[in-house]
Amino acid sequence: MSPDIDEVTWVAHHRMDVPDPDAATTDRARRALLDHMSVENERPRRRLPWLAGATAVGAGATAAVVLFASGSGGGSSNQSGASVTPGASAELAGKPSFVLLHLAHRVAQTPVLPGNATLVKRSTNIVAPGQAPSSLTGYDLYEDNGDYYFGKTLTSLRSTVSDPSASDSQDAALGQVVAAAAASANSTPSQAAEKLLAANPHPTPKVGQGTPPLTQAEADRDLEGIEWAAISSALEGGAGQPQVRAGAVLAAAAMPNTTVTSTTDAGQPVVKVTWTQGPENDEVESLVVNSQTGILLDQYTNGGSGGSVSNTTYQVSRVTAPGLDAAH
Amino acid sequence: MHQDTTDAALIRASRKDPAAFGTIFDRHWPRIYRYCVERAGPAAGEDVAAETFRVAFDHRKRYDGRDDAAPWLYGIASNLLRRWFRSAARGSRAMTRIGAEVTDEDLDDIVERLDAEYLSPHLRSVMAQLSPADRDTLLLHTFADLTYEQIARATDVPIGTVGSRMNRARALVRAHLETLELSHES
Repeated sequence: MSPDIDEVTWVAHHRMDVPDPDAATTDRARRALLDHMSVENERPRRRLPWLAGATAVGAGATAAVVLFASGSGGGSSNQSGASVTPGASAELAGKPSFVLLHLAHRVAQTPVLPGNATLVKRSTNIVAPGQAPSSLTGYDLYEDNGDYYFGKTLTSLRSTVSDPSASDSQDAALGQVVAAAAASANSTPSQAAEKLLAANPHPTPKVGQGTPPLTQAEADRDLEGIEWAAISSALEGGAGQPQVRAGAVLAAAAMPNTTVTSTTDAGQPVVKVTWTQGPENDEVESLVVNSQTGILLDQYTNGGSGGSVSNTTYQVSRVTAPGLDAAH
Repeated sequence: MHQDTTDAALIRASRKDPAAFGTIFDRHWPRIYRYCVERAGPAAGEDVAAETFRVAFDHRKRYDGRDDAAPWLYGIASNLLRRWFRSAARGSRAMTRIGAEVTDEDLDDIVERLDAEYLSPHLRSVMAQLSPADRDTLLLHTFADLTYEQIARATDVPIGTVGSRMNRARALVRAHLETLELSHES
């Protein structure tokens, strides 16, 4: 191109050609905004939002969908004449993360990849005070029929899968958490969080339990820990199932004491959710998921002062059992 | 009714009736989406565009009352893009080099590289030479077709500052074009 051309024209000439957003993309953004709008009058509350307003959130979101479901264009008279049901949203206790809401809608639209099982390679590095760093690698195979197998190597995993008598059965509790997450894919964050909490195998911590008796803050923190573990388990055990991942991401959107960051990992856009266990406790845990698919990529735990630090990296692929050939 | 209503009237109405904000989304989503995707790529761009409307909704009570909300939305998008580039730069170094010390200068370099990464190869090197403010100004003008006055609203600076930024940006682009011409001749 000639240097005589105007600079602004030259820049404009070299723009990337970005098409208009397609219907699915627009729908994701609209739904995320709707979900956010449905709780807009609420002040965030620190304590356990999923226990207070699961039903209320659903009602609020549904009301907003009815008002704002016409798609692009000018809208109808219904949009100007009505308002989001104030009574419904007024009961809501917390404000879900918008980034995670948007991600969950995207993940829920993701198709299931071919194959009949999900292979997860887990590599964990642990650094503990006073000890040499250690590393662990293992392979989990989650078959779509609910069977679960583990091998320290791919060869040993293949051997186990080909001999069903030697197989592990999937932990029933994990199966329940995965099923709860799948059933939550199209619900609200607080509903998803509540379902995951109900499916977890641990007893609900109550104030006054134990010795010394649990305080309210301690019980809240324990409950957050149970929720966090359920989200993490669902993302691991349901790594190959978009509906499970969507449900887990929705539940994470309702978690208190978390920060959500959109960032990159090796040039790949990711979303990082970090749970801080409280002002008197400097322990921090993070989950990093692919910002398009919601697939778990990394999990970090930092035990705080004097504690250990660990990082688990996940490589998820769909395979066909029993040969474990790549399915795509 | 909404088709003929100004953005300002809709935003005002949305203070009592949040659903009215839906029309703001429908009107402006495609262009905000395209701008964000041009700047940050399809994945992050979509997220930033969606987040733009979330932030706009949360801040609608502070809207300046002008009829057209596009400059306001582009301003929010530009801030979010800059925040995303910075967050991505921090994230990329934190994830690849846990515990490694990286100076602010290093971070700025990564930010500028990321900010230019999704532009076309022709624009990448010259855009990386511009300051963030000059780059935003030039791209709001060329990609988003905003006037100087609209850019002033979007970036919350006087119109004279927009002119200065555009002059600097154009001078750098001109120098780049001259260099290209020289290299072609040799």
